Amino acid sequence: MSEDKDPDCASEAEVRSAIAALGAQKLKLLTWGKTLLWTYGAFAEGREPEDLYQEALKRTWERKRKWKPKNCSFVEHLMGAMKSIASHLPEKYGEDVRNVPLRGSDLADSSGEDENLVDPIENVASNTLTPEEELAAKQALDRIEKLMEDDEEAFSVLVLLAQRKTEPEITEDLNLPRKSVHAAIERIRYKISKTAK
Amino acid sequence: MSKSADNAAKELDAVLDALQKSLLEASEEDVVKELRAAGVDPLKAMEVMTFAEGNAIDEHFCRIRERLAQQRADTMRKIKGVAGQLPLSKSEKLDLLKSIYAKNAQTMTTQFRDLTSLDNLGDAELSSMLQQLAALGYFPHADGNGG
Repeated sequence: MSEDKDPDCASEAEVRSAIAALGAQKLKLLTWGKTLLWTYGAFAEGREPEDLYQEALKRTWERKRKWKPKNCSFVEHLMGAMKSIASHLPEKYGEDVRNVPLRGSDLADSSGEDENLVDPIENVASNTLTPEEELAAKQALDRIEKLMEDDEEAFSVLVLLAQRKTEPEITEDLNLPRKSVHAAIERIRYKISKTAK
Repeated sequence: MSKSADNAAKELDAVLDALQKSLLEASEEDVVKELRAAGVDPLKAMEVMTFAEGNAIDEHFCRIRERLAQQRADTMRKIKGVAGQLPLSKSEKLDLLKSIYAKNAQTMTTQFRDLTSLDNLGDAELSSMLQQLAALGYFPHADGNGG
């Protein structure tokens, strides 16, 4: 791990400790990987959740993806990195899924700092999306929408989540108890997790 | 949800953020239950993830080793490359070493600055030092822009 002069960036020792302390949180990361791969469908074909995890760790080691403990927990950092890696699969490999390599280590460019792999906290409004990414996002939304069409309440919550509404706002808009909204989000997550391979 | 592809990425991002938050808030027991319901053995899953960790670290250190080996090869090439450019006589080598030392006294490492008995160095030692200085970029070039 190359040293970094950014004082907010975790040291090699901090990253080592954080990995060692992950414990059962790894199961959350595996679930997250499954969710992401299912979401990105064909672009994630041949990929396993642990590939995203491995790539996220590698990028953290190499400081291509910097973890700033002040900003987020290590698990959140890895989840953000995994999401970023998954969301860039369409951009990297285009629409032809046959271009997608079969090894996790080849998921992203290994040279230099990947400017596209930005921390969501650091770069909320990135306007560098390609048409492939936008199309893949639309297809992903359609998949989630279709999956939840037999659960009217969860579907309504999903629609409002997509509009960046918060749980309290959704509660108000749908005139539902807060715990129902919370449970609906859990059902969406659970259903994707169950459906994903 | 929007049917426009232009907003789709932002919408998907918002949905994934909510799912991520929900997963972070979920108890470990719930996550284990969910994995079992999806046909995943949690113990096996932990093994797989730990294996991936090992792979990530191995790949990282493998890359470091490759980079260091490349740097060493480059340095050795520079050292060997300069051997043919060294003056033949010991006195010329000593003069060259002194001139490099004088020109770069401020930036030389302590090891070189503290050398007070250059005159006592043998021919092989002089050659070796000059080659190493060349590898470090202190050797004067043909155009006179050394150091």
